Amino acid sequence: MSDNLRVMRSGKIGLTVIVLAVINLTTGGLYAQSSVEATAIAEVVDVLKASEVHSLNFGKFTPEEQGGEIIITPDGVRRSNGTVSLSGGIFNPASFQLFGQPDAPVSILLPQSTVVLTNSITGKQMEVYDWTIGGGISLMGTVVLTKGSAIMNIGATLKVGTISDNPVGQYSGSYIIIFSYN
Amino acid sequence: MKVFKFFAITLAFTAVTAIATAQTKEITSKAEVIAVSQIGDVTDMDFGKLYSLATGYSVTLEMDGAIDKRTSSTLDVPTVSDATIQLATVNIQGEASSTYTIGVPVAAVTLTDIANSANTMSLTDIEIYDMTGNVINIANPRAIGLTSKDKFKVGGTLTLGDAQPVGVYEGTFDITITFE
Repeated sequence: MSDNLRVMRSGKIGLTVIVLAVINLTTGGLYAQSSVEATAIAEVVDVLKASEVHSLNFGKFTPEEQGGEIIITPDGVRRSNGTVSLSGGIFNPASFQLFGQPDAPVSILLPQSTVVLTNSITGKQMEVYDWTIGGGISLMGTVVLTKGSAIMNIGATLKVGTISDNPVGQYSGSYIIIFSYN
Repeated sequence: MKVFKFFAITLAFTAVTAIATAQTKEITSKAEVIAVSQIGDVTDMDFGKLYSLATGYSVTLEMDGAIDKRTSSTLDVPTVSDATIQLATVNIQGEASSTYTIGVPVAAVTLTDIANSANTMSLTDIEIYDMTGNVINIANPRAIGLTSKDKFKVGGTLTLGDAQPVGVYEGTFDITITFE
C-alpha cells in the first residue's frame, strides 16, 4: 500500500514538473531572436609625402621705369610684360615630388590668395599670384600617383613695381600647397 | 414501432419551428495583422582610408549629431579625405509599439587584409547610436514606433599597429536582435 502511495506521489511531482516546463516554453515564445552579420571595412594606405625638388625662382631681372609682371609657366617658360627686362641666370617653376599609395588620386590645393615676397634688407615687397599646375595634371588639381609617385610643376606670376618700389636685392617668401588623397 | 416514428417526426417539426423564429444578429469578427519581426538591410561599417604610420594609433567611428564622424586617438594623426566613411546602419521591422534589445560582440573583432591574412587589425568598443547621434544603452529595450520600423547605427574603434601593412582589411561580426 505504501509502495502504491509512493508511486502516486511521484506521479504528481512529475506532472508538476511538466506543467512548469510548459510555462517556461510559453514565456520563451514571446521572444524572437535574430542575428545579422555586419561587415567592417578599412583601407590602410601609405602616408602621402611631398618634397620640394626646386623652389619657384623668377630669376634675375630689372624693373625699369614702370615695372610689370614676370610669368613662369609650369613648363619652365619665362616671359615678362611692362617695362620689366629679364636677365640671364637660373629660373624655374616650383617642382614637387609626391610619394604615397600607388595609383591613388591626389588633389592639390594651390594658394588661394596673393603670396608676398620680401626683401630682408629693405623690407620692400612683391606679390605672387595666378598659380598654375603643369605636368599633365588636370585643371581640377588632381594627380594620380602612378607606381606611388608623381612629379608636379607649379608656375605663377610675379608683380614687379618700379625700381623705387623694388630696389635691387633678393626677395623671398613662402607659400602653402595642400596635397590630399581624394 | 409506431410510437417511436411519431416522436421522430415531432422533433423534426420542433426544429423547423425554431429556425423560423430565429432573429438575425450582426456579429463583428476581429483580426489584427502585425508586422513580421525581422532585421532588414544592414550597411557596412567603413573606416575609409587610414595612414600607415611608424607608431600605431586607433580611430573611432562615432556620430556627431546626425553626422558620421571618424576621430583618431592622437591629434597629430593626419586625416585622409574619404567620402566613404560611415557607421553601419541596421534596419529593424517589428510590431508597432513593441520593443527589442540589441546584442553586440563583447570580444574584439578581427579585420584581415584580404590580400594577406597574416595582417590583421582589431575592432573593439562597438557602440550603438540612434539616428540623431545619441548613444543607445543596449541594456535597455528599445521601442519600435507606430511605423513598425526602426533603425540604428553601429560604430566602434579600430586599432592600427606600428607600420600597419597597407591593404584593404575586412571583418564581420554578429548583431543580435531579441524581439520582445
